Amino acid sequence: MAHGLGRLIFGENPRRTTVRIFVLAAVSAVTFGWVLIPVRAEGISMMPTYRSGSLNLVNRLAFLMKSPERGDIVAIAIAGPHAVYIKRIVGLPGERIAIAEGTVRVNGRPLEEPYVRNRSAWTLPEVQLGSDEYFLIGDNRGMREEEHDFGRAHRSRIVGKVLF
Amino acid sequence: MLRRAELRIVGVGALVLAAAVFGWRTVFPSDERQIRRQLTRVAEHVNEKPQGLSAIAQAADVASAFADDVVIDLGEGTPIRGRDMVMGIVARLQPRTSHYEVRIRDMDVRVDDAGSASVDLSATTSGDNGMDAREFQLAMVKRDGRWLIARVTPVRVLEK
Repeated sequence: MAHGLGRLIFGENPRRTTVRIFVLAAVSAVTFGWVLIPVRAEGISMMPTYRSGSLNLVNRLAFLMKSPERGDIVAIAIAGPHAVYIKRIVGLPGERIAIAEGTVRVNGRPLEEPYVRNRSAWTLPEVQLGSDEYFLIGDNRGMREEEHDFGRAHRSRIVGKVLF
Repeated sequence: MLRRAELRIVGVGALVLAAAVFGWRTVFPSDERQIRRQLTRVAEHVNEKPQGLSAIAQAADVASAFADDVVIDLGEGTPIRGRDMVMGIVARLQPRTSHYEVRIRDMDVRVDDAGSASVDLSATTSGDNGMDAREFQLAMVKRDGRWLIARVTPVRVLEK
């Protein structure tokens, strides 16, 4: 009975199966511990792109070879890599960013944002981004400005790119 | 080649050495270790769910980690000044904070000199209304052999 169960689990070649299990466990541990970090979105600031409670994966290697780009949705570290803000990059290093009547302006020009559904009349005086700074904001612009965390963050805060 | 008896001696020696190092570090912890332990203990006290008079004892335990002239400036409203004020606020907020669980996620301790240190700390609170995460900068001072929190300021992750 026990022999039959063991054979059912480990198959014809138990040694090879054991090695496979260890390799799979090691690859999973490295992948989900270091490369693709699972994060859960809390709050409504990224709606409608991400709903509160949705589970997402952050690719930590996304910006290893290239810099973050405008429109990328990224995770910003708050409390280690597992407690993060999920925001969209609207401003790149060196740019001037302002918000007028809910429209983001980059170097004085309005930014086209097809992912934004509702807009409240947010206002932000122009800020100049530093050489390592990005401007990040959530997609939900219909909420009250004071309840929405957005602004400049240093490159070192960007943990990775949010997938899906 | 070492013989079995010699191997045993080496093994026992290594164990004794490890135990001695562990014992030394436990009895005489480094400043960094003391600070980490102290701050972890504060979080543990905050997470206690006392009732009645124990709530006052809990507030006193939490407040004992702060210097008597501590300044907590959270950037909103009036800064909290002094250990007594901390104790009063902890006691008053206890019915609300008992619904939350505080966890220290990251702690970066830099001992500047024998009497002062700075700590970058991030913490999360989780409860019925989901999770919130914040980052703080702490200035610590050593008084009468104990590390105490002298100043707390929040770190803004997204700056406008």
